[in-house]
Amino acid sequence: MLPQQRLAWFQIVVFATACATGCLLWLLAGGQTVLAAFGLLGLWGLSPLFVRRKKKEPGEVLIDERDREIVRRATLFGFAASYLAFVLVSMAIWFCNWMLHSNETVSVHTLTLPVWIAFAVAVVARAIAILVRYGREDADATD
Amino acid sequence: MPPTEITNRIRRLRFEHDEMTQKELARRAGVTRQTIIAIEAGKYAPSLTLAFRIARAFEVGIEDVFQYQEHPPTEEQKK
Repeated sequence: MLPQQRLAWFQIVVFATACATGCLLWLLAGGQTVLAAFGLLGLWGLSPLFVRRKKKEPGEVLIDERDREIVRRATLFGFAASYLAFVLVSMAIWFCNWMLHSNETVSVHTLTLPVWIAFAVAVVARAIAILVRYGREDADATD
Repeated sequence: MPPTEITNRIRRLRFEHDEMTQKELARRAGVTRQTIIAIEAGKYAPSLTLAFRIARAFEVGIEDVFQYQEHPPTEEQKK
């Protein structure tokens, strides 16, 4: 498995853990405690550990122009997905507060939600795009 | 990545060069084996620099390895 793939899997596992923790907190404590689960996303700070890999033999190339192109495209996809998520969550908050409850103020806790979700979506969408792009090409090995 | 308009003879050239492995070609061209696999399958169009390095690995000209086609071959033609 390539370093980029390992990193992508790590980021997805951390995200899934944060989601599971959020659901658990919501069931046990409810309300704003769900936001505490986003703290687990801080584990993404360990990402550089997954990119590093010792060369098996001298002169071995670990990352080349194709890898950089895949990561570049995946990052663009991640940002696009992030922007979409930010707008959709912001609109959903407005819809719930104003349209359903006629509430003109938004809780300061709720206000951080679009930012957290957009951040998480950016990283996870990028990770998924990397796995999909590498996955499509792995089947072509011949020797 | 989408199929490219660049076709190549890498597989044949490898065969003609004592059945050079993809790993060996990757080492000579300074890329990963996965990149050679993708180029060989027509899924990735290499940069000009890499195209020259691959041609040099086979000790032939760049057009002996890569060809540009106005109209990419269909799946039927590839078979």
